[in-house]
Amino acid sequence: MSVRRFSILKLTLKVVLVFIILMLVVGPFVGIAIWSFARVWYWPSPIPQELTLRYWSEVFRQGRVLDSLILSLKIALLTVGFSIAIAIPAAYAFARYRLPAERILLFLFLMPQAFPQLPVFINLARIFGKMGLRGNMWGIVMAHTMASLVFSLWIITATFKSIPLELEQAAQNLGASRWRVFWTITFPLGIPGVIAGAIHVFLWSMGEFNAAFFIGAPFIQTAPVLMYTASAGYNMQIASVIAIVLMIPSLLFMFVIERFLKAEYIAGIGG
Amino acid sequence: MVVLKTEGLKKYYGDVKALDDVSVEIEEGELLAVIGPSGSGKTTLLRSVAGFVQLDGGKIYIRGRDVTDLPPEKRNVAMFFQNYALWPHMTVFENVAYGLKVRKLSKEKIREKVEWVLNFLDIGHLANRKPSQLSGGQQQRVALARAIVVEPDLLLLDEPLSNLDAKIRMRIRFELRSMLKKLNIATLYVTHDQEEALSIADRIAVMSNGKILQVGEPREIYRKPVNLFVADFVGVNCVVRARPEAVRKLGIAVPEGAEELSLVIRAEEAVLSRYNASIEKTPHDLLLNGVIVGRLYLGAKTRYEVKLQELDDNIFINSEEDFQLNEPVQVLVKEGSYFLYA
Amino acid sequence: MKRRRELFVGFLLILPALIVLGALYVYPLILSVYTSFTVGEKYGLANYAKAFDIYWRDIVYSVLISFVTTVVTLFASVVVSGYLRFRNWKFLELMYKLPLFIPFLIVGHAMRVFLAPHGTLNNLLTRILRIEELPGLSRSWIGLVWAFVWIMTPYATLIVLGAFRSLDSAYIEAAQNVGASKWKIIIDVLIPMCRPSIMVAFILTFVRTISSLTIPIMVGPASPNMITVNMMFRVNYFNDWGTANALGVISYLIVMVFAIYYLKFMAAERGGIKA
Repeated sequence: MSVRRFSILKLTLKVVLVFIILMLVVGPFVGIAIWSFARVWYWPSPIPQELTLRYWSEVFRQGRVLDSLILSLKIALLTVGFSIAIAIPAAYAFARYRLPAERILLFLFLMPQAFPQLPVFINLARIFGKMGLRGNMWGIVMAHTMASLVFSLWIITATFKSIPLELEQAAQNLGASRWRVFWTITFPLGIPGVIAGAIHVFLWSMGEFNAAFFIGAPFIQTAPVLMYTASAGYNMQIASVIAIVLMIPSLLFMFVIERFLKAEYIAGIGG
Repeated sequence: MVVLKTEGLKKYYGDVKALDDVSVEIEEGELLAVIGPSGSGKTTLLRSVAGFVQLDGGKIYIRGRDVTDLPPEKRNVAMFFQNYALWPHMTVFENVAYGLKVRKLSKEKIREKVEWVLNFLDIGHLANRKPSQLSGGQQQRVALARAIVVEPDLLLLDEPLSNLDAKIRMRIRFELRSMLKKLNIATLYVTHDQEEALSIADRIAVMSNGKILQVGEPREIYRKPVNLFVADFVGVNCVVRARPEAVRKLGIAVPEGAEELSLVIRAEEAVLSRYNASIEKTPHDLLLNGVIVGRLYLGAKTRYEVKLQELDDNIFINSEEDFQLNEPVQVLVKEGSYFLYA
Repeated sequence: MKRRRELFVGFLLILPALIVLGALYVYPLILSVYTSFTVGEKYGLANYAKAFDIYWRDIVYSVLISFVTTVVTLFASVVVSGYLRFRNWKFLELMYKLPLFIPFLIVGHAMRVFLAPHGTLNNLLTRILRIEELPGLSRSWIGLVWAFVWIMTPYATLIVLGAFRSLDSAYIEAAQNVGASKWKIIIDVLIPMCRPSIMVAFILTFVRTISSLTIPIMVGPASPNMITVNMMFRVNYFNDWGTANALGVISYLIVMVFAIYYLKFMAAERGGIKA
């Protein structure tokens, strides 16, 4: 009897705990999910008085929402290309080569994670302004390449370091040049890490606000900048629709790349 | 013809001398085993011949060509890695074909050679498997196939049997030796297992603290060790520290001026018998009296701890006979089975 | 000779990354420090005087908010990590990772809706508690800390749980063997033995909080506010780069001690394996 009562108590506790965790973690997104369909919503009704698909249709219709999403996608894809292409050789050097002033180089490439980045973006916007790169997509791509480089670099470095040195030496021993060793042994074995790095850069660039805002706005608006403008102007529906669209890839890819990432490698970003 | 010649190789890691003036030679078709405890520098020697170690001094010649400053890929020596280092993203066939592709052989030629070597090593049926689908013994053969298929000037084997089970290891020893002899390929073989070296090598080099202490045929190393270290490292031994007077009483010539002597007894060759049993003995054989103070049953044999009367020390000897605790016994050590060092 | 060549090749491989970092990070960084000391054509501390004069309250507020966020975040991540170290609970594992890759700005917007006076949270609570009205948490320091903790806890947990899990179970079993409770094991064994990782979690949480712009502009109160928001205002509304950069340099100085510890720790860990 007492055993059963105890287990019922335990079950109730667990249900309450699950409910609280769900409310804390998922709760915030319930609100914006409902807002994205709301036409009229007044307190104290728990759900909107009138629902509509109008705001969602903007995602698929020619207009500023679709434009901003396409712009963000373009920037993200270009950033992935540049960031990964630059990170791969540097990561290989950090993993395998003796480097001049190695400690200083390590410090330099870790610094963006250890210090606030906002002042850098603000001043970068100022520099770009003088060069005519403000309000230009390439300005944002450059800023994103720089900022994402420090984490794509460390993700790929960790992957290269995890490949046993003997696998490369065995190929070298059989007559392969270092170049050939890299392309036939190291790179194929490092592909999972490179993909993880690329996905992470993509997700980060899609959601990045600071650089896109200071360099792009008000001339061009990426999806997050448009979201901010909409939210600040109390256009909750548009803001919520963009927020949900931007969230989907984050949630999907989390399960793909999560096992490759140590928190330290992705740290220091955000906004 | 001399295939490998090293002259005075030196390599320091801080204060540690990994290689201290190391010179060895390997003839065509010869198998030289380098033995020594871990940290003796034997692996450093192997890796510097492969080109993976930046030397602090000395020269390496392969077939008369100075390769000291050549990168690993230009030396034409093939190395077998202790953990096999098979590439997990390639099949067995691709692993073995890699060196041939690098050498720009035609597709047909590569196929022909790889198939030959896989069949030679009895692993032809595994060609399309990935390394992760192979057993340890199979992986070992693939690694060997990958090394010999490129017909290197010199084969470097780094502890090739250490990752196998003890039982398989014994069988593979013979196979490995007969295969290397069939290929007639000069081989540098590094191992910490002296018994393996004795059974497999044409010549043996014993290393300690970065120095080569003795080079010679297995029989010579076993029978005529030049110093205490070599004597003790090769074979199963007991080392007895003794005063010169005690040793002199046993009828052995003692070097002048020594304060304490080390007597190395090949325990695997010593014979244990009952006290007062009639024993045939030449003047150079050593006959010691003792008492059984411990015994350990091993199955076919029993391991006895014998307290020696004359030398005031204990030694361990295996015997098939049955002795009781505290029973007085005699230990016969034939000439050539014991060594005395100052 | 060989060594020189290797150094040279290694340097060449890093060069593209170095150029990008030099031109787009180091140069603006130096410019920010330089600008903070210039007023018109003259050099001086006028920008700092102005920054402290107008924003000293906000500077203190930023530090306090970051500190409170960090403490709460670490507590939450130790609780979650401790639980998951002892028990497998797939649901919690999923829940703590869910927010990992959601952009800060989106979290800010979602939190603004969630914590508003008539937002999702109050909608729910008023019904459960049967109260007419509840004050909203957005635009208050509690809402700000709430949003920060929500966003930082997954990262901190990833670090702390990683350290907890890599610790040999023998230490824990030895403590259990002598009768220590799970709480006691967390406090007496896990936390002390994983101190470096917890330190890294602490530093990263603090630095990321104090340098965040999006969360305070979405959910922070109008005044006092985080200095990142002040930087944005100085640039956008007053075109006042001097004061904005002075605030930027102040934010560097605030995290300086932590940043140096972090750099030293990570540089030691990131060194390569060399042939």
